[in-house]
Amino acid sequence: MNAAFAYWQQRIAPVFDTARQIHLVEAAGGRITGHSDVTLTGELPVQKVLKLVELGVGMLICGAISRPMHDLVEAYGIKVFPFVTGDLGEVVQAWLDGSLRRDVYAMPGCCGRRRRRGRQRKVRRCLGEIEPDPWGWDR
Amino acid sequence: MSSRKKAPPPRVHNPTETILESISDGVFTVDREWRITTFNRAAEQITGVRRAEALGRRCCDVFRSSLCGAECALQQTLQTGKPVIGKSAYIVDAGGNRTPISLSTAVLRDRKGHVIGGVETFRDLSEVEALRQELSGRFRVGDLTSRSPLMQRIFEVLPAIAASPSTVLILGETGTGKELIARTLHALSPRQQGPFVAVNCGALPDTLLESELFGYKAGAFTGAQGNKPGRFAQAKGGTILLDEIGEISPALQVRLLRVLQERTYEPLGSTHSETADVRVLAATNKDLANLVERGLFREDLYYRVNVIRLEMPPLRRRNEDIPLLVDLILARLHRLQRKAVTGVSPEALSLLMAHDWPGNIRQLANAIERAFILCDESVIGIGHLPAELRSRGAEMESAERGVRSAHDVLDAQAIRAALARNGGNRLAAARDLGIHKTTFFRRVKRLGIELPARDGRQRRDEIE
Repeated sequence: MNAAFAYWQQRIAPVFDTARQIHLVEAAGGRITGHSDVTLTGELPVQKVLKLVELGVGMLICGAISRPMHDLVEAYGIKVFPFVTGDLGEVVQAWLDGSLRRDVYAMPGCCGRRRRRGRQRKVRRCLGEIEPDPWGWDR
Repeated sequence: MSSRKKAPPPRVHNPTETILESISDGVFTVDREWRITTFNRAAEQITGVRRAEALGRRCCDVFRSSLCGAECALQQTLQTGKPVIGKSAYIVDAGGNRTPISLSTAVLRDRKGHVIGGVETFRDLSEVEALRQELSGRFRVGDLTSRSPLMQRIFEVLPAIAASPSTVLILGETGTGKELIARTLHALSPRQQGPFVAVNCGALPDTLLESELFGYKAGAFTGAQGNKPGRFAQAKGGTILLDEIGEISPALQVRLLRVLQERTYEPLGSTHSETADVRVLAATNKDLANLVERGLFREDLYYRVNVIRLEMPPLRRRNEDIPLLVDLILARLHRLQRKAVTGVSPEALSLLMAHDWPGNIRQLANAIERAFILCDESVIGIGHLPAELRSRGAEMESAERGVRSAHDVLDAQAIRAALARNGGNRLAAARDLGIHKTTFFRRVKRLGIELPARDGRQRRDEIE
């Protein structure tokens, strides 16, 4: 599967809506079989998403993402793994290892929402009435 | 004896901390590694991130603003030493919500003047934005925008018309937005989840239009190898717009009348009737009543179609909308093709407002698009506008000379129009324009306007 990592200065870009650089990773059997860097040039959100579709991206790993943008990406069949932070290389490795759900890769205020099904949820509602599980990680 | 425990002593704050905690603007400070060192109460509330989670983390991971990254305001401030004040942006919270903010930045120095980091203050503009949208919403229904009283009257009745299942006849000159209003009616109607299908009845020959509207069954005619659903079938559960309904032939008018009366139709070659589960909207730029009088349009169909009537005013009757429409057109062009054009000069706007726009909004949009393409400056000027706007004999040459000339063109037009309205009566025209007769005659002379041979007063005297 092809995964796209939105990045800026070798770290996951803080906001995907305004991100321009994508690190594309092709992986099979837990190993990288190819990778490249792509610049998203489209001004409109849909142009960005169409580029991801054109690149055959199956999963997008990114920092913060607005709900309309998230819904648009998912509408094109691309799974979104949002609110990720960290060094690009480490995040790519964590994705390959299956350890990306660890809190260490979660943006502040977004942790505690990536527990696996079956675990007792420790609700850590942040200030500002944030939904406890906006992206359905716990479902 | 009371069992109540003694309250713990309040935490001692220094004055700066107390001030920061009491204000409604979010404030955070960062060290030279972009790690957050201070994060006030308002910052917690606006970002939705607790102070304990924010402290020590990289500011962009906590703040998550649209500027974070390549356009970081704080980085710009630390590089240049200059503060950024009141820059607009939005932040994305953990729920994916965008919060509009305005932010300011400054450099933080120690007592010796060494840079130790930066400070960023930001204000939640959600309420301001909501108010702004509410204000603009008064001029907007769906995709329609207008400040004109004529359009406001339409806006007021539009939701009620949309909610009813009745047929609507939309009248208006070409380019006045008949299809747009039909789409808005559909979008506001209970059928909004269904399809919206627009058919231009004037674009197809009669026989083709019939099969296009009602569809056909295999074998209905030579070449009809399979079933083809018509537009009425495609619009099932939604709305169909029959544009240019004045163009359809008498034979098709009969079939259409049946659909409107009985809500059934038969595809070509079919022996069974289909139910038309569709709301019908019709539009025309023709005077249907006149066509009825001349026997070109069936009277019974006219009454069936003309249940609710909406008349779209031409642009020349709502020219107060031109600045708003120009802004909208420019914003759309900006989205499609980024250019440095920020607006239209006052002189050019005056010319746009003085034009008659026979092609209405469509023509205006084309003129703006042309100017947008030609314009290599930040503002569209008179020179970028199409020649027909400026070509009014000698007025064209004068228009090119700038603001004063543009005003002259407008003055001349206003004087001529006032004279025409008042049957050549100079004094009445001056009164109409709200100027003294001496000013009127001075302007007439300066602009070289030829006065009508007969004064309106004389003619009235003669009649009397």
